[in-house]
Amino acid sequence: MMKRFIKSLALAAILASGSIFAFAQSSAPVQAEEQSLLGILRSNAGFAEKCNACQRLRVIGTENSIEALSRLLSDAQTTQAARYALEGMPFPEAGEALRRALTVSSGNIRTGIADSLGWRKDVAAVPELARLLVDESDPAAANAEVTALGRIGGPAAVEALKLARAHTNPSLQEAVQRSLLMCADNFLAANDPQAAAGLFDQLFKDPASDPIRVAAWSGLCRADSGANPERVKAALGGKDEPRLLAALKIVRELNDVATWRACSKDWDRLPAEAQTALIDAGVRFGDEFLPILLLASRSSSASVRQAAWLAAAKSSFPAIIPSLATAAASGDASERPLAREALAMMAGDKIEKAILAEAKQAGPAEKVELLVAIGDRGDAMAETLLMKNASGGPEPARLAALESLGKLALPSTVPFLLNLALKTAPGGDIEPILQALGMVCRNGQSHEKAARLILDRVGKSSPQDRVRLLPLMAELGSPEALQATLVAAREKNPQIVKEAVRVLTQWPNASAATALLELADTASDSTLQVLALRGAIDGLSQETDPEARLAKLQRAMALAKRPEEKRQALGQIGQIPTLKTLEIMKQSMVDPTLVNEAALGALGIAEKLAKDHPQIVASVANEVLAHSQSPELIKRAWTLRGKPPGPFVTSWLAAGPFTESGASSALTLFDVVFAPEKEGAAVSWKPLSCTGTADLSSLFPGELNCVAYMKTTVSSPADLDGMLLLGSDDGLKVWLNGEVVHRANVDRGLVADQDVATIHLRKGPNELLLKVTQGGGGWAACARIVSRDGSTIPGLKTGVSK
Amino acid sequence: MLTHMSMSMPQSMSRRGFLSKSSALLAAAVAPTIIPASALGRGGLVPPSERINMGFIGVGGQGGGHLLGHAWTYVPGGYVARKDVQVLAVCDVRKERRDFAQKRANELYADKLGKPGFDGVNAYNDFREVLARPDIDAVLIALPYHWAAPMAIRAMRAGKDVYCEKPVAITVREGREVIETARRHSRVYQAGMQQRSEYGGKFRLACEMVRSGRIGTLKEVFAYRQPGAFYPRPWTSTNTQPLPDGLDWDLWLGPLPWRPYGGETGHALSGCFIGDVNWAPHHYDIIQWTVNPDVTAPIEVEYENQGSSPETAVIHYHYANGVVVHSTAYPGENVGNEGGACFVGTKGRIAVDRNGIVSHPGTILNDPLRSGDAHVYHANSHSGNFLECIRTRRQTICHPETAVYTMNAIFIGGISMALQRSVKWDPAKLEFPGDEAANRLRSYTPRPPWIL
Repeated sequence: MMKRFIKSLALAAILASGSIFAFAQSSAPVQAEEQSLLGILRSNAGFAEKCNACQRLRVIGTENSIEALSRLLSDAQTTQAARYALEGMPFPEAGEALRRALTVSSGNIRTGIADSLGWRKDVAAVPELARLLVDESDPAAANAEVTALGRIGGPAAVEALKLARAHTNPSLQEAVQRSLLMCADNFLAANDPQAAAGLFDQLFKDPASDPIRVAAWSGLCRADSGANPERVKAALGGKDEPRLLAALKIVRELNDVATWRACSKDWDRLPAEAQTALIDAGVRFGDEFLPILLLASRSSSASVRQAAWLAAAKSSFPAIIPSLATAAASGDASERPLAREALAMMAGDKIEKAILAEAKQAGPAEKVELLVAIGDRGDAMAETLLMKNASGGPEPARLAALESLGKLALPSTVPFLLNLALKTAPGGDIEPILQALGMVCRNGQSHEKAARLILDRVGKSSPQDRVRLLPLMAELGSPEALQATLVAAREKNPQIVKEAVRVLTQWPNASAATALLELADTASDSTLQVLALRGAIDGLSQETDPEARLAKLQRAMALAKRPEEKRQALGQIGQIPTLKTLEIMKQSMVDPTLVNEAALGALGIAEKLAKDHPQIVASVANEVLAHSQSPELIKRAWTLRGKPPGPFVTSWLAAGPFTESGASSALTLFDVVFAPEKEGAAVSWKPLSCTGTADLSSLFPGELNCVAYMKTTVSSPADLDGMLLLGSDDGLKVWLNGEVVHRANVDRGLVADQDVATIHLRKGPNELLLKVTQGGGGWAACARIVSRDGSTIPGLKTGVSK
Repeated sequence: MLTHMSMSMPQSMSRRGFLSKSSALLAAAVAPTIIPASALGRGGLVPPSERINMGFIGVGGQGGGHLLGHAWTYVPGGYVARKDVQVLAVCDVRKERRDFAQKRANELYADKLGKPGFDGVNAYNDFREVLARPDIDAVLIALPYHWAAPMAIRAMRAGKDVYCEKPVAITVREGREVIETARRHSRVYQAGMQQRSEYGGKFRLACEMVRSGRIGTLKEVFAYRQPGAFYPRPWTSTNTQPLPDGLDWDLWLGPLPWRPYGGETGHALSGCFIGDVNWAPHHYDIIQWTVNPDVTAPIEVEYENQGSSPETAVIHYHYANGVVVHSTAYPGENVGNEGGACFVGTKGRIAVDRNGIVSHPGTILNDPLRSGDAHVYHANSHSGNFLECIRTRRQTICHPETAVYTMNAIFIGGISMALQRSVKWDPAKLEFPGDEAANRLRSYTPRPPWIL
């Protein structure tokens, strides 16, 4: 970090001096590079080389490059690249070069040059652009000249554009109007709102398309803000759609209370869209907004009410709370979440008090909403109200109050909640109370205080109460809570012991594991033994010290009397990748009741150790192949074991390509049934020979988004199990004797043996069919068959039937 | 090929008009603006006059996914399945793509509307025909990078609202024009940086937690991703491949420097960009959302060389509010790789990405946000937010200023990589103060006739 800090200081010094660019520009290597690039421009090099030189001159070119670049402007193949270099140069000479070229060019070359002059805001180009525009016959060039005039702006450009509007082809009118809009924006940017307003006003009044009218009217609002109150009011209440559309945005953007006030006076006459926009805008205007918000909250339009709830969330008006509570409790499905969110988000002390007051007098459904909101808001002032509602009364309010007490997580509520839990009659609904207590326990800020209170209470409780409160120990998860639970687990009362053991099995960290192992060893009740053992193994998944974890898991293995727990422990041991655990797995593989868990663990460990211990990998894979019958594990073992010696299939018949109209991906063709998959369908097969990898792209060149099929016959000397090793580019589906034995719908490159399928060959001929998908690029497949242990199968033959 | 149709066609509000879409200017202003679909029309469909008519420009993986519903698009069944949308047009310069999209969309509508043989979805090669249709209200743009901004600008000029996939621009200048056009024509625009709305609100939670001070004062952010910029090397090529049937190569290329078809029609031509402009927007969008409540911006980009190539360089952004954003991963933290970031403050850190959100200490995330905490724009569906804003004319959750603000941060990092040195940046003026070489890389010259 220190190194970076020093570097930053140095950087800051360089940047402060502004010397980086100066250095780069004046340095000899850059000058030499520019000269070298100019040499390319002046040479007989091809257009691509010259264009690439221009690209670099965009960054480093100086005045010295302008002459050579300007010579490329008239060549259709180099003009764009030359403009790229010239357009970005700050030098007046670059503009001069472009203006000279503009006059003598035509068509697309002139179009591009005019565009570059426009971006450069080259005022000196205005007369020539205006002159060319009068007689311009090329529509694209005319459009570029018009656009450039708009970008450059100023009185002269405006005059030229107005002239063009009167005299040129009607097809250019839209472009001319757009350019006049740009000119008006330029006036505005140049602090000449009067000129801008005049132009916007004229454009709005002239016959024009809706997008132009929208832009002109919006521009007028920006340029002539004094008239906005009446202008925007008229637009919001009028029937001119472009104006309304623009006004709905403008009223939100303006942040102008006078305009908002004028429009709001017409509230009852405004359409819902306009009312919605006024609500969105009004939230910024303080108390003046409240009457409108209240009106909106009573609107018969759901969209207006929704806007009101959204605005309420950003406001601090206590007066809106009753409406929010009603909307949250009984509004439309679309507005209820918005009202709830507003109740939860409204900020300010007044809101907290108002919600509290309203909750005391609200109807049952509204009260529930308000009690929930108190928890979401974290309003600590409501503690008493929540406790009162949690103590009794209607069930929905009781549950809401308990949930909010949990969310508030105030340590001061712990005694109350404990009492409430203990007061609950046996068989009563204690769960919400414990959940609330659990939330208090889990909260980072209140955890410590809550823990002290709960532990103190547990210590003083009757046996029956202790059983009820013990689950909170796991929520606390502290050493003190563990100690209290262990004390309970050693008591004589079997009910307490059972609950204590159950709580220990739920412990949030590994600290209970040792005690649980002890219980598994010493408990007199066999059910408790199993419960403790399983809990210990579960808990050890959180043990961070691998040695301690392994030692305890080995003890668990030793204590386990049933395969279920041994398998559970093996699953965990497999997550500790050491040579020692690998040995445990290998030894366990000989036990038929543990073989799959042990094989799975062994493979997982071997995969992680393969890099440092390559010699062990093959032996582990062979152990798995020797003991496991699981196809998945056999495949993984094969992948780990590496290449066996067996030969590839070298003789195929191929058919293809097959596709569907409009197929945009080979992946979509994977399950489309083409002729080779259909019984008895006519297919034209072609022989395809190879030494290992069958190259379909050579057989069917230039194909995309399609599939091809390959088939061959496998003659087996006997009924036997084997392994089919496969590779493909791209996806692959495989049938053996009509049954699908492998699927891989993927986009990938081929690696021999990348897939493995377990197969059963019958004595005599077996038909092997491959479907290989092709998205793009390479297209190939390979296959070979070996025995389960990787050896060649004597007498097995593959190849196309003659 | 059509020429300048968008200039010659009269542009007007769509046939049924904005008012009927929003349905709110109902005579007595009593009906809701957003009509519950269940209450109206056949099978819960919104009546035709109130559906938003859409065109899809670019129907490859992303655009086709939006249309028909595939991974990454977050709309079950795609826009075709939505009750409040009617797709009228699909457009692609690849014939097989547009034909497939048209066929599937028509089939799905035939089924949905109970009209066998439905053919109301038209297919186009030339986008100008789509933009010229007065009955289309909005377009979804999912194109190669170089077409995103030029297409969005043309669509908004034609009076269409726009959903545009990222990267929404490839230069600072293009981004500025997108903002200006949306503002000028009062259009609704949503950028496809959907992490603000999707993924169960994880990114919003991280943003609000950090803004609310849960990790103390924010000091550093790890972006897990390099930025990038348009920096064509080479400018053009002579590599030539046979042109596939049905591909309009000239239109695909559009404003880019001309070159023969060389076998590439992906998201971008190889060599056009330095660094990453495609995935980086997701990362940096979330970062800027979180770092800058007041939309401050990076003012300095520190280039740290890490080998011979700028593609391996590390970028450090220095923000006006003192926060430093690194293009690297937070050491040892895996959460953040998938479109996310790791925010480091004086009291802890929060890392978030599409797969998860974690805090250190873990208790940071246990304490919920309260009423007095920072809250940001809330949307749970990115496409839903777009359609809702078309009706209400509100600003979307990822409007042009936001999207371009993120792209500019990426571009200035990319330009620093191109120049292989540190740069300073003035976010208000959109320029590198006193740094002419860097300033020249803020734009490029489009190929006629595709000027803006």
